[in-house]
Amino acid sequence: MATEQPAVTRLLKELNEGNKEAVDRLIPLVYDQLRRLASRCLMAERPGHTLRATALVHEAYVRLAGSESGEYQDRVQFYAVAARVMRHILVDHARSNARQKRGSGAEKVPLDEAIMVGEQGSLDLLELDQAMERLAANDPRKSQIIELLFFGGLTYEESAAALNISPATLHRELKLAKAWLHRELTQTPG
Amino acid sequence: MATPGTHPDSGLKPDSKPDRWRRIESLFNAASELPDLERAAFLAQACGGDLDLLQEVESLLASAEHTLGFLQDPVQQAAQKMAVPSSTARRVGPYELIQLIGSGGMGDVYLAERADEQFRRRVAIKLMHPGLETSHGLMPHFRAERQILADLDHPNIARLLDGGITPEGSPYLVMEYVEGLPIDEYCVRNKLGVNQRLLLFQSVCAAVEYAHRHFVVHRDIKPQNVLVTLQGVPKLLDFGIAKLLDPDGPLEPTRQTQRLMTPEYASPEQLLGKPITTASDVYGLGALLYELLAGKRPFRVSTGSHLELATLICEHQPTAPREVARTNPDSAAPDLQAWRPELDSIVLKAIAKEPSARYASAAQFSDDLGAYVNGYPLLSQPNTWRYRSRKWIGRHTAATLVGAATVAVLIGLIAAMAVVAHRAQEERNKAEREAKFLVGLFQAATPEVAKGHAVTARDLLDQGAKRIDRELAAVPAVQAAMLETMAQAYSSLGLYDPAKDLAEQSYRLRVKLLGQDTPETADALYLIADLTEQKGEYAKAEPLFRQLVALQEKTLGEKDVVYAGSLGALGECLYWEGKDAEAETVLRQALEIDRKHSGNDGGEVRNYLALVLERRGEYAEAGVLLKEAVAIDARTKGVDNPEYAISLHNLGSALIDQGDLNGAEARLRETLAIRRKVLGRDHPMTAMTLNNLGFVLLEKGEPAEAEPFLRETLDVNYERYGQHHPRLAPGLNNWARMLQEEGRYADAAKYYEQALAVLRDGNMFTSWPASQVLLNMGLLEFDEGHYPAAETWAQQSLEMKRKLGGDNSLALDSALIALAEAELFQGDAGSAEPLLRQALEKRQSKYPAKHPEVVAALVRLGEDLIAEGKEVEAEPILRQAVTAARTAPFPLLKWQVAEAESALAACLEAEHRGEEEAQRLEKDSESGLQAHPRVVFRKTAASRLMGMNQRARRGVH
Repeated sequence: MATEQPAVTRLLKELNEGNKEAVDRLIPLVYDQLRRLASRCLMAERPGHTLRATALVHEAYVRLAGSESGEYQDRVQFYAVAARVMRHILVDHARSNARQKRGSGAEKVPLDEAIMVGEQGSLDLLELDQAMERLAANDPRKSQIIELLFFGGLTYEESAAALNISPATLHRELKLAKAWLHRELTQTPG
Repeated sequence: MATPGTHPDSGLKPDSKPDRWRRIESLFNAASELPDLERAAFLAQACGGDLDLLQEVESLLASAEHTLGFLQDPVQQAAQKMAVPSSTARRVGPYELIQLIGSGGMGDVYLAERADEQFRRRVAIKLMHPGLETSHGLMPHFRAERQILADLDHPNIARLLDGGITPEGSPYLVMEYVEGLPIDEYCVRNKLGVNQRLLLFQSVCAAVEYAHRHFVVHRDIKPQNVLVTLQGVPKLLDFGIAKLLDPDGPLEPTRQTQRLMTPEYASPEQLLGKPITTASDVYGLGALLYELLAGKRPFRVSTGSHLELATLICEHQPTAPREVARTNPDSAAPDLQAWRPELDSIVLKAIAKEPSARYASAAQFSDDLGAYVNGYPLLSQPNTWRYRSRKWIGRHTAATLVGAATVAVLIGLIAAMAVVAHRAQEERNKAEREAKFLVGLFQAATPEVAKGHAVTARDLLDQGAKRIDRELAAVPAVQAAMLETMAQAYSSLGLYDPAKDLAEQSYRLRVKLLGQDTPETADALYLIADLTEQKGEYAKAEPLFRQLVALQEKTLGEKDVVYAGSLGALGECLYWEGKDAEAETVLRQALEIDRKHSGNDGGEVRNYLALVLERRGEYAEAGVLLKEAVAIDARTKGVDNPEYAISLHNLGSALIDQGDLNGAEARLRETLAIRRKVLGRDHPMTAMTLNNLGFVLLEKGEPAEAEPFLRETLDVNYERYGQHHPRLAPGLNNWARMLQEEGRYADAAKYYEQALAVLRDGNMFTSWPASQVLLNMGLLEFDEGHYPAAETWAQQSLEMKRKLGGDNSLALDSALIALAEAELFQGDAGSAEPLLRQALEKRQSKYPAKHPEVVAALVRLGEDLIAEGKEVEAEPILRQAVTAARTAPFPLLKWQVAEAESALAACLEAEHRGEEEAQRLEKDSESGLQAHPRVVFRKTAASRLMGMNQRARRGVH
């Protein structure tokens, strides 16, 4: 919608000026836009393609801010918000999917027995989300780094700018964050 | 709420949480910086007896080793899952989904009805999971493939009716809905005997044979894909679908590993990632028949391990089906007494390990079954397959003995290399080295590179090349072999410079090790020559090829197929040099050897011979050769193989000359789809197809359609060859022609001049392409109304063509017409007439009677006769033109028909008779002339002709 554009630009400006509440008003706009784009172009990419999230967030930005060449700070802020929204969208979907799977009683006949060899990543997104929550409870920034990089598709540099830290710090923190999550998600409790 | 402190194993104490976490962090960071060996000591000291802390940091450090890709992959998978359509989406295009009838790895199958029709038609819709094939760039491919499949029309094939993409981006296919039982169940339920089962099975063979003739390979023949209807008619489902759904093809190993065929029915070559050809379907048919007769599949494992199964399929001989049937009374054919042992050898021949040991076609397989039923002698010879398959496996031990964890990746690599190293495949004795090389490459691809990223063939090659230098210097023989194979692989990717460098290293090594006169040295020499040619340095390549041919004649003898291959290569080089007569001799010699040998290796020779013949105007023989080449390549190499694409490309190009522009366009579009997929967008061969497709569209009078293809041609070629390569010439020439058609004359002239310049730079100033550019420059001047200049260029072009092809060459036709037209429009209709008669004669002897070029020549001659005041003579000629144009086997373009009609109308007008007919013709031609971009010119040309006619009749010259 054409009327959304100034709103987003203004909100981003407010956000940069330190008005944290702007985020709350920004999120529904971004959410709506991303959902719409997600149903269309998220899936239009090939599996294994690492740029997907970036491209999506970028497109959402262009549509909402009405231009490709906004202020760097604005864009980074936007991406950071988009990363959070993206995480919610994906987790929401995973959650409703899990419900459906259990609930649906349709009988399926395997017609196509093609086999997926070497399928990796049986990692459950819901578990990841919960683990990120646990991490955030103690070390919010590390959780946010993961969110920006993996859900928002931000580059290292953009992520560092969004968090106002140096890329070196980001790398160091990322390493521990990933190690912690990995241990959390792979070890069998007890 | 769970926090790091409350997780059972986190070891963090809630009371000291923030401090402790900071402590852990700083220890983790510090230890990360240290070499592995020093970490333990450092941590032991730093933790000072706090064992929980020590354990905590150590376990995090251990986890840090395994984090590569572990977050990225699940997030992306989750993203993809979002696109899976919810069960509430009830409509797909015009179809209403009724019921889910099946589900698999690639998508779901629904029973559906077309809702907006009077009668309700039931169809099956295969709705793919998004993300499988939806990248925008692949859509044209998807559509092209779909079209090929939709054209399959056979009573035993479930038709593909429609297909498309849903608004959510999921591709879907609409297929004929078949109600029936899987063929194995049908046989069991109806207690069919051996011969009844064979009869039913023969219909399946007929369907497969039909598809193969249309260049479609099924790839996944199994009982579930063959349903028998209530009427007892078997219908094959999902033809070619496997391929349609895996458009990335074998160049992307990481994907290939993820989607294998149903392994129980896969052929050995499928499991090894070798090219899939029609022979793979023969195998699938054999396995199906085995199961129908014996009641069990030829290979089974109780553990369910795919690796074990794959090993069985690739290495073990199946038990004779009759033996198995004895133990299987419930599902096997019940009348064992009717089962003679020959049937076993037929089935086993069809499932031979080595593709070439199987039946050459589904039809042959079916024929042998017919012969068996009728008691005639059989094609299958017991025991030969045993020997062959042992030999074949022997050569592939390196590929089959790798550990379980790596097998999947290796399969992908072999798939990649089977394509990039396709040349190597032709030369049988190289298999051993090839296998070694593949393993080498496999080891060069570190797990880090392979995981999460698509490893390109180029990546593998670059790593492999480094590895050769580093590790193999001590074993020069192996080093030379690998250098050669790598060079071939680089060459197949169009990377000629690194390829040539490696080939020369290999050659030098071999001369030193083995001397000149050995097959291995010859192999390397061949590569160097070939690469020199690929770079466009034909004059330098020719002596290298001659050296090679002489060497092989001595070492291999003049009947050898490898020798024939080199002759073919020499012929190819001579063709590029424009030495057509020499090329033809050499190529015919090579063709002769191939025909006597197997008739299976000569696709390339046939292609080049056809090109030479076309240049001489022998289109009929050229067409036959090219159709042979396409069939050979489809049979031996598969329809997604680059060499098949070469033949298809050439056939498409030949159809242009036969006047079948639509057929040509379809072939070229198919070729383009294959090449973009297999070779990539920026490969020179892809550019060649782009160029010819652009050309066809120009010929069709659609310059705007042609533009994107021609533009891409130029882009790719500039990138590949730089600014001065002679292979830029065709692209430049066609770009100029497009500009000319659009009336942008000044720009067109610039590009024609550039085309001439690159030919001059490449020392090809006197050559067929150059003569063509000169001719076009003449036509450009003609379009601009500069007739004297047009005459000069046409004259030059004609002289060059005479020099190249002799006075009697059929290739002089267009230059003769251009010259005549220039003279006619300068008022000299009399001198133009003999030129036009010559041109017409040449065109009539090289083209079929109703070819557009013949029509054009007739029209030109008729017009000239009118201008000379000989309208009575012109009338029958123009009538012939109109009839031919209206009844040509391949529809002529509207303006071509209109041109003939309008000329005949002018003729009748000049004769002052048939006024009514003339008016009718004028009317008929009106819309056609509108369709022609140069309509205004035609109008003035007509009035000019009439003026000349009147002056001629008055005796004024």
